[in-house]
Amino acid sequence: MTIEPQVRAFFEAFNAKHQQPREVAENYIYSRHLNDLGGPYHAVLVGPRGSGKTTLLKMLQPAALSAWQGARAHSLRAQIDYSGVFISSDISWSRQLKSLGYGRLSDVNHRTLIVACFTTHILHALLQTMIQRCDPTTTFRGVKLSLDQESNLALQILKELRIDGAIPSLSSIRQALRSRLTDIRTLANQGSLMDQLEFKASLASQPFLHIDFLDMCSNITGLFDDAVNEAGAKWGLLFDELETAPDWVVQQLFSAFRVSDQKIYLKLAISPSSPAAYATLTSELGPADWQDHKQIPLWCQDRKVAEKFCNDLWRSLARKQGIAQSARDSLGPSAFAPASGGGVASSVDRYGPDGYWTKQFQELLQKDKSFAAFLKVRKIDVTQLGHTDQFSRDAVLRKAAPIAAVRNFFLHEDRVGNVSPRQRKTSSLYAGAESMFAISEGNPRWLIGLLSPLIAHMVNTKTKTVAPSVQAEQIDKAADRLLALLRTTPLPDGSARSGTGGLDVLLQRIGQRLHDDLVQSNFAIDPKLSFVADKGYSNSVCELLAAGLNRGAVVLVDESTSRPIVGDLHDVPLRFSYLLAAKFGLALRKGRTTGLRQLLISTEGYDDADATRQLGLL
Amino acid sequence: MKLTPPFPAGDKHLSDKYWAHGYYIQDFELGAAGFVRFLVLNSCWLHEARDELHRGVLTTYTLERIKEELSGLPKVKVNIAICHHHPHAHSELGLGADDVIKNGQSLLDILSERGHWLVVHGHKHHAKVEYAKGQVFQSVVFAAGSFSGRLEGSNAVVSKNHFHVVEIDCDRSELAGRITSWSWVPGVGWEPSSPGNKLGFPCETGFGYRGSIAELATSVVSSLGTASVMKWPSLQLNTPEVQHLMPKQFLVLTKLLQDDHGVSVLFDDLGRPEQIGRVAA
Repeated sequence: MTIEPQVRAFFEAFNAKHQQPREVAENYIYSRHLNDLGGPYHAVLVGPRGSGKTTLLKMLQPAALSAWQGARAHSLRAQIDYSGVFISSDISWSRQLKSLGYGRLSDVNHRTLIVACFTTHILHALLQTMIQRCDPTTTFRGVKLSLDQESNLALQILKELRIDGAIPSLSSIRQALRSRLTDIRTLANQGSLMDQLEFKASLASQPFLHIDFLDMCSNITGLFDDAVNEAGAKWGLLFDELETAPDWVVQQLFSAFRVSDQKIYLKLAISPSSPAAYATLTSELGPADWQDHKQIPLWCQDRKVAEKFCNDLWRSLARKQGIAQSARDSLGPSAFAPASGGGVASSVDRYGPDGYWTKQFQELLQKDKSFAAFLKVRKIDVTQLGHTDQFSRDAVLRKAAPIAAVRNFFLHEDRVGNVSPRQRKTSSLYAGAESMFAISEGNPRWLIGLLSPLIAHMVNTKTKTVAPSVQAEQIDKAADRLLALLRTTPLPDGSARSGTGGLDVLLQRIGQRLHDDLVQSNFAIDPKLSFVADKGYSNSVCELLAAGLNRGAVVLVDESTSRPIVGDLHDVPLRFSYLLAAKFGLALRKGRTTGLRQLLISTEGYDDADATRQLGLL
Repeated sequence: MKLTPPFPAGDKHLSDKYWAHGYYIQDFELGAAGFVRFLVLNSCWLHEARDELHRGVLTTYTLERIKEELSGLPKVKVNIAICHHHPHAHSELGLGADDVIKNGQSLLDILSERGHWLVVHGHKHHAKVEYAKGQVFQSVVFAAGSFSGRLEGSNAVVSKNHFHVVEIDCDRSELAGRITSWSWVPGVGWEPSSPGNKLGFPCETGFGYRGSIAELATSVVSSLGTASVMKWPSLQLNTPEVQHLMPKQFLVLTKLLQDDHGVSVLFDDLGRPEQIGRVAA
């Protein structure tokens, strides 16, 4: 029994973290990322929170692949020649473990104990997968072991893991490993009361604290493979949420691409900003993309592929509520998809005399002299848009139309002809299926959070369409929740001195400047919509932007797969996620990039970097 | 009564009897298994009197009528009594001792003269299953906890909101069965109950085994034979009595198995027994 999706919190809902493999499989909507991730190689899955990393990793477990009924399930199962071991980020080895031993352990002793926690956690996950494979309901890579066979295997594994006092069964070993985590914590607490040199000697004498996780995984998977007559079979270690892991764990795992046993694939999920991963990847001895591993950025998708995923997800959600209509029919077209035209039936010529874009252009022409000049230079007559040649349509009209729509929406002409920018309370400009899809960034958790209330609205009101104002309300709510989440981002060291403020404040300032530039400057077909922290710009701003990148508030503009992981945010072009772009009144495109120094100083006479320098003189 | 539909029985006359005399009795046919008898008691019958508001009461008048009516009815396979308050003491966790049903033990004595009874009650919002006192037949008293009430005080730390499915083995001469329980997890929904502590209610337990735990431990070891490990369902087939142990009886069994026979019981994440076996040398 579960709670209806629409009553769950937007950003924490639909988190696969707490779902069993079968539940993940039952709700899974296919994306080609699963094929990319599932191949017989090491891989790094890069994406912000909620982008579906956990779901994709969990889908590679034998129990999930057994339960998956999707159209592509058969072909994907045929592609996967290993057993996926899902390894969640665990408090036992995450950064939160800093307090192990009450902070009174020496660095060496502290590290020894955390390494032991980390290794034990991985081995626990490995045993979980072995048990999963022995479950009679597991059909993909399922195996059958008699009690005697399991007992013999367990005896060998117990010996390898140096576990005493356990029943010889896989479940018993799993439980013993769980107890071992508790034992390690107890050991740490005891160590906090001891002389650290004496404690170090005591730790050195306990072999189970010094197991190498890759070696041990290789050994005990080998024992399992022998027991089930699959000598040489492959295994995949699927590490989730590495952004919460200590730097040395990240470095160790990324370095392992080159050295790891050929029978074990590593699949690592991490957020886009990770200095530790970046440093390892770019070091001389580090791995190279496509040679040692494959990098899979989750935000980089072909637009058509992304739209198909979004449409599939809509169909899945709508069908559960008895709605057969497409997203386009229910939500209408988008102002940011000029090929489709906003608010008109597809049969009408969108650039014809009564077409949507002709009306938009004519309205803007009345109040925007720079737009008139723009059209004049390009010899475009708004009364004859329908007769514009194909080249001008493709090169000018389609690119100019979304910008014209935003300016027309936000520029107001009073009765005496004075034109001024105005604040709009609703984001109805951003309604429409394509816009909603773009706003979700193809992020499944966001998309479900946006679409579920709209579908619920259709059910409750017994209507077949959702008014733009209702869609706008959901966009606003979602953006406000994201901003509230960003407000909880810790301030970097030194940010108080530089006067940067929190992440939400910083982004709102940038958003406001970009919006002012978009609406109040002369009409440009390619306005400033992206930004970059110039070289030498405040470090605390870059740290905040990195946090925003990992939370999906901003997105890397470079959509190639060459650099999905970044270390330092200086000189890295970013754009707002389209959810925040809608909140700040921007166009849903990446636009031209501007430096933050110029953007923030030009309008306020204030620059964070200068402020830092000046305060440094005091 | 003017309630529509009638409450608590679907039958108007039985409902009237409940409100007028403090109880009613109704039999249902179970097919080949015979009949199940429900005795539904109104332990709040005197709540209109301010002095009786904070406890349950069964008057001697009601008890005499129950005794007389039961003696005139044929014996049935399964007997279940339902009431709001607890008929015997239930005061752990500082839950208080003054609200027990006045004449509750008298009720249990009357019931024990008429076969084996399962008594199900609420009120305490703390789930528990125990045997009643009695010289001959001891009723099984099942405090069902609360389905949707707000849990307060010390009990809020221990208990959860529950619903249960009770299975009774009708082919046995004495009352025995199993209870499967779910609990409400805020933000998630109904999940198999996970006790979390020794006073919490497990997701699977039983009732009805009244023999020696030491002898049962010997039977379990005998069922294990020379095997190093046995899955719990296999053990249940060989030694079905293990399904009819109450939570505290089960704890004693596992301790005896470990201490006297070197046999361990392995539990799953929900605290259900999963395997049994001898520790590897």
